[in-house]
Amino acid sequence: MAEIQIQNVTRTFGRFTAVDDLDLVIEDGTFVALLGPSGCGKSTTMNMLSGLLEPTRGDILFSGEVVNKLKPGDRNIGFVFQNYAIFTHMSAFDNIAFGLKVRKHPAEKIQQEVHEVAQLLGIEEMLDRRTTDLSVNDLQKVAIGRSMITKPGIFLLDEPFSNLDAGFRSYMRAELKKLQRELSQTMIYVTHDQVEAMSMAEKIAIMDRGQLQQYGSPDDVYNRPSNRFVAGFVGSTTMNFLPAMLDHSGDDLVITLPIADSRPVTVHPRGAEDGSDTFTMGIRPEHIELVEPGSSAASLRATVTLLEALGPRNIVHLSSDKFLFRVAVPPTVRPRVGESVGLELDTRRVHVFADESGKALV
Amino acid sequence: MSRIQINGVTKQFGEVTALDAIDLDIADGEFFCVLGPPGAGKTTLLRTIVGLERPEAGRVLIGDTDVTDLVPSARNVSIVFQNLALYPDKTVFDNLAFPLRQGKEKVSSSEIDRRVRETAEILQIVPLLKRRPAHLSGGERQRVAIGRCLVRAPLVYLLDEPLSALDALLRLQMRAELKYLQRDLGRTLVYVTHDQVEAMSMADRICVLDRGHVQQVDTPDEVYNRPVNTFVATTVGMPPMNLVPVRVEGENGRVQLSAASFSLGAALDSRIERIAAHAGQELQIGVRPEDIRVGADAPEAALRCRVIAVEPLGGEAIIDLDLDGKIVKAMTPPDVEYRPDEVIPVAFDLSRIHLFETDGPSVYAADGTSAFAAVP
Repeated sequence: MAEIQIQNVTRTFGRFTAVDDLDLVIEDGTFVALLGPSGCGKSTTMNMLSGLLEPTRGDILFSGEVVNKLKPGDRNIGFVFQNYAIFTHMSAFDNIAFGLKVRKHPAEKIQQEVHEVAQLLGIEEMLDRRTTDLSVNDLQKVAIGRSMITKPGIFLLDEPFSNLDAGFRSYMRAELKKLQRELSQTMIYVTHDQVEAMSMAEKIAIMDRGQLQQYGSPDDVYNRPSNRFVAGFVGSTTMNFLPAMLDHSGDDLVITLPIADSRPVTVHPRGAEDGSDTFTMGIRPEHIELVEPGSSAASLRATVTLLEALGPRNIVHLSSDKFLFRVAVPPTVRPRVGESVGLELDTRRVHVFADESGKALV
Repeated sequence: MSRIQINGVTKQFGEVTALDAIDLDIADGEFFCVLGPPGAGKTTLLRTIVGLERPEAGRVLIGDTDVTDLVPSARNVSIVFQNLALYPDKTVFDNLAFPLRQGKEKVSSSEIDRRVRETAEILQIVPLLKRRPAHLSGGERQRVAIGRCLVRAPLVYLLDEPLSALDALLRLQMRAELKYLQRDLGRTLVYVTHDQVEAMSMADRICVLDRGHVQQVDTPDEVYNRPVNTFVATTVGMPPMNLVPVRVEGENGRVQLSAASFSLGAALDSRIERIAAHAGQELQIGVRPEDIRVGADAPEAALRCRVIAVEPLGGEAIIDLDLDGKIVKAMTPPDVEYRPDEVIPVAFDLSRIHLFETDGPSVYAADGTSAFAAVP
């Protein structure tokens, strides 16, 4: 059990700053995802938490104690890696038992605890098998079991599912989420896959170029992104972005789009303006509706350029002037390519970003 | 003109049969996706069409020409490899010009210049022509690789997982661009991928391949809504279709499907007869996550399940449910608030269920109307 405090941590490699003044408190027992594209600093952060790297500046505290100089073995942490690093000459049982054996626990206790862990992971029947006879999917479960059994205060997982096939990955997401709840351990999960972060984590720390962009719940980062990077990174069909002109009308903002015959959109700002001159409007594909082209609800007209039928939903690609839109519709809605439609924007779900800072105003 | 026919093609590597008597007929101008997990035989199939692999049995025809015995350069096909294989020491222009300079027929340098520029314009890489690959982003490199494939105007384009090295955002953009491009060119394009979203979003038809065998060749709509077996059903769609084992009982002109916690019944009619033939056996109900209603959307449901976890995905949420000790995934609107361990009503949309034999083949696919009703 441990609360993690990352206090103004910077890590440089020569002139390159991998992590830049990161400030983050991870509460005891939380499932946190560190999310970002490659090179964002998430793995460097992970390596500083595990003790493989020391911060250049700043402190890392576990349960109030500075651990900057503590060796990985003295930090009471468990690891699961992408390439699961299993001992292939041992059985699944011996792999899981390893951490207890080196700590010289009595054989009876080891038996009991390995079986408990195996039961949690649903791999009891495989304990006697050699790891070379196990599937990739089961190997990853063994790796998780081996790391779980020593009951570390903090669990660090580095893209553990990236070698698994898509179907099993979706199943393991639910399993890991359930496991974390049952163990109520602090769990930190590093990933570049926003679906994994959204689906499993209680809180997501989104990083880009060494800097923390937002720390919040999946609902926060999806519905109230703090800046344009977060807005574009989270969501499986990317948010639509358009240049926007802003006018004030009392407490409201009126957005005018650079599209002929488009109607202005009125929204309520939630952030302060930051001196930027130019702005971008953002709206997610599921917050636009296709309506009759002449409808009074339509903010603008567009022409269908492509239909992607993805199963549970269709993505309609459209163009209006020179701007491109993606709209998510139910599978039964199938407009033809070349068809002219109206786009109704859900004004409660419109975002506005200042171009200079990227910050969200709305 | 650029129809591809693959007739009884078998390819072996030692003991391993990579392709087992494959028959495919790919229409002129079609965007054709080959979808399957690693080891399915996708790349071998592509290499056989190009001519990099010689099949032990069967013939490959492009247009009306039997190309089985022809070398790759005589087949008039272009391929984009997964790892792009750009020449790092050549500029983008020279990378694009390479196939023209190496080709059998002599192309004048003014013609090379014209065709490279034309291709670069289509792909919007004109400003990059003087750069070397090392100074390009992943997406730009991708376009150069595709450009090198376009510049020769071959009969057939073959692409082997060309987007797999790109990050998610770029992949999304390139998907639409490739589709536009193929529509404009009007040439046959064979696209190999393990990513069902790519296949679903781009293909006119999908060929689902597993261990060297064709499982199904159909439109994305058919493959998604009428999968011929559990392999196809769980390969296409994410999260995969749920499979729930049930026992079949038939008596007094009715069929009943029973699991520990629920039962479905149907009166015997022509659609149901095939199911009745399995009386006394086990079958699997297949139901997609979006065809399961939960909570307030299923007020009448007799079936109750414990919530294992809620996965918010932003645009929707996945509810993981415990159904007789197995995880079943339901897709719901994003704004639901269920707690773990809460027990909630659950209803399958019976107009959308499938039935499969335990070893895979489809027995029944509901076609929008329901033959079954819940038995209390």
